[in-house]
Amino acid sequence: MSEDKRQHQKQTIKALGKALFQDLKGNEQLTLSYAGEESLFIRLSQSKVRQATDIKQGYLTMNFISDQRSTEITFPIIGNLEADLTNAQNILKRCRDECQTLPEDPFVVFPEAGESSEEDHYGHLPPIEKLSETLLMPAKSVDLAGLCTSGFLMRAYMNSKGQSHWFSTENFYVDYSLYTPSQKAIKAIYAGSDWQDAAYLMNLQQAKEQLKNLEKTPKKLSPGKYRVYFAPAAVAELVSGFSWSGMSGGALMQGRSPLKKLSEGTARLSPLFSLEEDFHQGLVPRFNEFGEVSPLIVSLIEKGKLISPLINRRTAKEYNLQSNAANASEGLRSPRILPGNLKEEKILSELETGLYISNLHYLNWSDLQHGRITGMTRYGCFWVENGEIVSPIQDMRFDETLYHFWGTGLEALDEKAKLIPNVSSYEERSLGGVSAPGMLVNDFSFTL
Amino acid sequence: MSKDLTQRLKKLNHQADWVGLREVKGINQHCTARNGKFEQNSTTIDHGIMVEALVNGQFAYCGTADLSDHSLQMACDRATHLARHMSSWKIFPFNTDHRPAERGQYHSPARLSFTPATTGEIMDRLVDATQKMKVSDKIVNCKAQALLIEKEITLVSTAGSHIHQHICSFASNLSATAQEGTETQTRTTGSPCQQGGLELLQTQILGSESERIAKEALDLLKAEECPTGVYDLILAPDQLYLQVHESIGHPLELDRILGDERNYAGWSFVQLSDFGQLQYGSPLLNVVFDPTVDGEYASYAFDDAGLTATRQYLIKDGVLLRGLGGLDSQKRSSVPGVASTRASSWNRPPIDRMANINIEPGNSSFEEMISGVERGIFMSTNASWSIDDYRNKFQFGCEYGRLIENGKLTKIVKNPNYRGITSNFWHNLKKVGDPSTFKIWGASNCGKGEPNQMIQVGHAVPICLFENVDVFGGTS
Repeated sequence: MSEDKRQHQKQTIKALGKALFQDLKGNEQLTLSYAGEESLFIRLSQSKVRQATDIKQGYLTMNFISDQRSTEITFPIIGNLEADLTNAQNILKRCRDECQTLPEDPFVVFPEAGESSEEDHYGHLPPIEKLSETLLMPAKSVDLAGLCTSGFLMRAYMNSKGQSHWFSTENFYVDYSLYTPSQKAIKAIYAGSDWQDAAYLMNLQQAKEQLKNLEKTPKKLSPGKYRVYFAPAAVAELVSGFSWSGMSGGALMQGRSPLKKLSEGTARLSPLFSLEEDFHQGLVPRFNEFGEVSPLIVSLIEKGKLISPLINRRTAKEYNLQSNAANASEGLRSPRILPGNLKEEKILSELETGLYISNLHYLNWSDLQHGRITGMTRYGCFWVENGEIVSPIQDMRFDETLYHFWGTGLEALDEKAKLIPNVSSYEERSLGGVSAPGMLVNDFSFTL
Repeated sequence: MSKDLTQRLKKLNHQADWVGLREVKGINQHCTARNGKFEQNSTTIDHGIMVEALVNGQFAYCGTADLSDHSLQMACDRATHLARHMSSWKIFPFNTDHRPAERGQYHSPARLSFTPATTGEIMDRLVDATQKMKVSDKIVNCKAQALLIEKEITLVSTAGSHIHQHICSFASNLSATAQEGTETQTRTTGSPCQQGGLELLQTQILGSESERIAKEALDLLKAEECPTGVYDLILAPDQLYLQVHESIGHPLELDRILGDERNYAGWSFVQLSDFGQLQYGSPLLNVVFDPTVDGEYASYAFDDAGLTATRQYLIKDGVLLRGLGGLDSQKRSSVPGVASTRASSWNRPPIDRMANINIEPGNSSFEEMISGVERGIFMSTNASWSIDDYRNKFQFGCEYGRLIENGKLTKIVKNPNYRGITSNFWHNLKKVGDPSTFKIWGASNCGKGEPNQMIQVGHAVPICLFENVDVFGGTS
């Protein structure tokens, strides 16, 4: 996106906010959150193009408060100030009318004056005109499936007390997998803000090399406990599953958290395990839907002890707690598991005999109270004997508690963490990712 | 909606072999009350047009929320350009036959409309529902939610299609969490969902249901863990619907079988050569794609490629007959499919999806099923789900279990779970409930596709009995 266009978007959103705040009456208060994107999606299958889609979208969420009552409406913004303002003023009226029919909201979060911020990140995106050739010509000899996404993303916040935040970035990813004729697969991703043809080719070449490891007959393992090395992408999957109410302060107070035992001190995690929100990389906005700006580091679990769950202003108000600038859903936004001291060249020898798991799939809580998670192995997972890869494995189901794999069973973490990008695109493209090292776990339970 | 989308299409200057416009206008409203108080009223109003262009056998798309003529022309130009550019790498040479010219309408059976003025009435009922759950101090969290969806879809094409569909639906969930010491148990109404209007507020949000789930959550606090072992398993419709969704619906999606979903949702154990041949399950298993059921969550008359939707058997007498895939996948695979090309909104291209996937009722009463079981478990209301990317190895958890001993329902058991392999499981189907046990369920959150799309699906199923299932309880 050109700089002029980016500035136009920013100024349009700001002007819209200014005009709407001037329309407020009496005790009315308003916060506005904006999420916009220009995205190209190219869906790939069999190293061909299945569908190509270009989307321009922007949505403004209006949170309206009047006399302890609140309501929220999200609607499209097209970048034409006159048309957008007319539409937004109608929405404001609808909010005003609807609020009168609602009961009071005892935990309504009022906007506050405070620090404002602006962050613009610039990138070098892949040239669209040659993209299909660039992506697929070097993949002609293999069976590739996946999605290439590229474009501009914006997030903004404004409130009637004068606070505002702006975040914009440009990024891309090629999230793909390669398949053998017997349909075993390797997963890979090339992502970032600075597209380089050579870097994509190297990424693809590495995946092709790994595919060769899958040509042997897969080993069928019996259910039971195994020594396991989880590669960073598999650990990131566990962290993402954990984000599903796992770190929420509200969930903990309402009896729907896996951290209850940790919080009450009846269970502990390993001193090797530390989890924090780390905003240093600037991949996601530090501001939330309430206008708060998160500290650069929010320590959540330190050396196995719960420091604090994620607490937003609404939860803080309801339970008289201290907010740590969590978002509305109290989910992890920029999680980082602190690395350990396992050197890359020692991974297989330290594993010795067991499973090397590259990716996991379809995680869900199977017993929330005891922090038990079930899910499947996926893509290139291997049986290792005496520090050597022997063969791929047939996919296995696991069912294990986090009090084991991040607790008593955790033996070591890689000395370097890897950033696993968040490639989710429900309704809008996600930002950020999980920074995770690989981890070595003993006696991990497989059930099917 | 745009006054005459066909006229707007005619005004477009394009070089494509075929162009379609799909205009979607929708309102989604989430209302939540918790512990007798307001928690959230959140509405999304959306409106946009997706332009679909076919050039040199390649479809491409461009979506815009700017409904001006200029913007629509730009979107048409962009979709045409993308299709032309990508056509040298096309996966299949599509043609205009893959977008039939159809005309027609569909309206959900809604009697009472949703309006901003009705929000207060909905919220009052939700607040009241949470108050009725508070039957004991041990009930620590009471939540009531409603999801109202109203959506208008207009589809026109240069081939002459003109389709208008107006869909209204209502979904809800009541949830009571009980806590005593270290034990916590949650019981819900399982998220009922149907097409219809505000009249569903009266049938889904009931005071008697609030009290029932709260009492059952308290019962679960005192209950024993579900035992571990191989048992006969009777599944209530509020669990079985998700078993159907995950282990019949998804594996039969033709785009999965063709490999398009391998990098995200996954593949399928079903092969193209299995259609017409594979004994998918017991001869008692009859599964239909049925978009015609009045009030079911994913009823419609046309899919988003414009194909007329009709009732079809997917599995008859246990034999696999037909896949879940629209015209694109049917042509690519040479396998019979259904009208199930669907998009979540204007900003996503349509792909193969489920809609209403139902098991036909059999002839066993619930009492007859129970009386025939010597050692079994009855499980109801889904709590947890997971299945592999080929849709083989699954594990489900339920909220509430009852032991069946010597033909009688006995003790309540907590944390009931079961696991198995799809084909074995459906072959172990031994009894199918009669129409008195048949219930309409569904889900608002079926996720699939790259880019990702969330869509509503319906599943109507009877109570069913399965033999020899691995069952287990919680960790403690």
